[in-house]
Amino acid sequence: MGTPPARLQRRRNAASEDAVAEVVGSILLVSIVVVLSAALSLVVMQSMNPVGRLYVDVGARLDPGDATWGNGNERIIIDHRGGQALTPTMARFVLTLGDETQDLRGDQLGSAFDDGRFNIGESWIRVERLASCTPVHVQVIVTLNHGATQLLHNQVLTADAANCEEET
Amino acid sequence: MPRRPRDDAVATTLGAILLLAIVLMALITVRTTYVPLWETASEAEHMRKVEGQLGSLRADLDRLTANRSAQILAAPFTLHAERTGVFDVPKALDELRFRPRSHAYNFSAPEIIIQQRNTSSLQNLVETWQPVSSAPNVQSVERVSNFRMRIEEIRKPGPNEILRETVRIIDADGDFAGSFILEVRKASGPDFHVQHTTRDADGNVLYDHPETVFQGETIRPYWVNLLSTSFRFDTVLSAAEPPFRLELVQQGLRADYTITYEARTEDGDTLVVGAGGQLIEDFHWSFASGALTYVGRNGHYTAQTFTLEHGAVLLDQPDGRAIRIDPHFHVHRVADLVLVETTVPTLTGARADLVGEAQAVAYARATTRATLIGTAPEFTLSIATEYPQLWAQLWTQRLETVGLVGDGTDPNFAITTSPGRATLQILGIHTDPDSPVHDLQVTLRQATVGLRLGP
Repeated sequence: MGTPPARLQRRRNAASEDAVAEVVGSILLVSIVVVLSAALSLVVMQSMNPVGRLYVDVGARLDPGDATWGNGNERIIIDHRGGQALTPTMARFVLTLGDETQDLRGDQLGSAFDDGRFNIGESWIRVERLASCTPVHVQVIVTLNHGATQLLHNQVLTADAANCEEET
Repeated sequence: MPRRPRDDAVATTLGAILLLAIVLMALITVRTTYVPLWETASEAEHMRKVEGQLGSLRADLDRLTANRSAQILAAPFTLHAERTGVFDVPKALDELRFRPRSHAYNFSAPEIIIQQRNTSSLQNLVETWQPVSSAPNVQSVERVSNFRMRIEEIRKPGPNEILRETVRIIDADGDFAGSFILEVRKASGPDFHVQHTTRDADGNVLYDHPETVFQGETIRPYWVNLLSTSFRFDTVLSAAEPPFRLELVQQGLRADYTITYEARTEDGDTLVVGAGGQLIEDFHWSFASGALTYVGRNGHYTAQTFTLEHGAVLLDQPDGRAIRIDPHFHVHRVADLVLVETTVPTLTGARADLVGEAQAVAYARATTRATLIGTAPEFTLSIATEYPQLWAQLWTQRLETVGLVGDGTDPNFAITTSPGRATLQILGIHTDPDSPVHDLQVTLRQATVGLRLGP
């Protein structure tokens, strides 16, 4: 037994370098797949933002302010009666008084939204002139993610309803 | 030829990693994006269900209060929200508990004339008399069932003097609808005449009593039953278009009157007003009244605690509180009379806590019932509660609706709150604490309901 011939030794060295390249190549491939998968997951998770809904109970009512309707101190009151809070960026209050419609959102909401949130137990109040038997249509709408909207409350009230049954 | 290395395993490995990554991606997406929404929806729906179950129990309690029944009613409660299975995270368990409270519902009045107590009517026991000078108008009258006048003293008038008591009917349109006049005139010698005259809406005299002659200086007291058929004033009253107003005017006489009538409230209801009854001074009525509470320890939706107490369902959240189901506390007003009507199922029983059960049942049975109808110059209602501000808001809103005020220099009512208690004192229209006028009519219906919780 002696040292292998130089030609055989060169052949063995070349085969070892081939194996290294295979391993490195495999590691590179796996790494690329993992990175691509992670990137794809991130993209998919960001794009798959399902639309939730809000669970809020609000109620609307009218108040004459004093004993007389139509003297300008009548109040449209929306009560937050429980559930999640509303923010001025998501909420819209649409009031239709007779033929006039007011679409209030953002800073226009004022009142109970002053602290940035309309919470349970709070009442949003708007003073208007409501003659007896005036119909008032109150809609509370919230804008969810992706621009989807949800109608939280939809009610037609009548000023001094007890005394204008025929009209209603 | 050198042997080529096999790379089949590399492709399989890559495929497996890719599949694993896709599955993991899907699971992570579901867990982080969808599960919170599902959990929020599930918890919110569960809280709505619990509220509905409390509402059903409240309705059962109303029936037990109104009906004379010893039946046991069972109200189920669901203590767990439906979860999303393997994806959900453990959360604290919801709890249903009952806390009894003694002397939790108290009604008191410095004096009260009780017209009805439980099923016994006391209306004919004692009549309620009030001076014409302090209450000269009776408004919103639908029908009069008792109307008597008492003149403490009729003295002999001067030569040209006429002493007079007049009752005028003003109908719904503001038109004169008839009158009854009692006049005292001097006659010859020591005598004087007392004369009764009834006129209809057109001024026609329906009755003109022949002069009654008395001798002497005074008559005390002098009684008149205005609904006596001989006067025919009852037919004039019946012909008047309701709701009408009675105006009482006196000239030279001091009269008291008692009247029982059906009054039309501002919202169109009809109530009996002014009946007589049993006078009791320093009246106190007190009941034990516990609270049934559901604590919803939600993980994603807002934490909510519902409490059923004194006939109301209240909701407590970390960001505030509200009344979800109003108690039966109604206020009407007829002219200068304030009518307060309340129905209270008061819960009694042993302290109980149910945690970790899937279902619970509240068994309710009315053990006693009480009804009190009476009039008072003022009264006080004091309740034990963890939510005194909510009760204060409710009372204020209901009383202000009929034009009463709780602030200023001359308030019609006063509300005080302290931790664990809310107190309402109603002074009525006549706000002077010494006022003898019974300007409040109270109808209080109560049932003591034994409550037992079981799984």
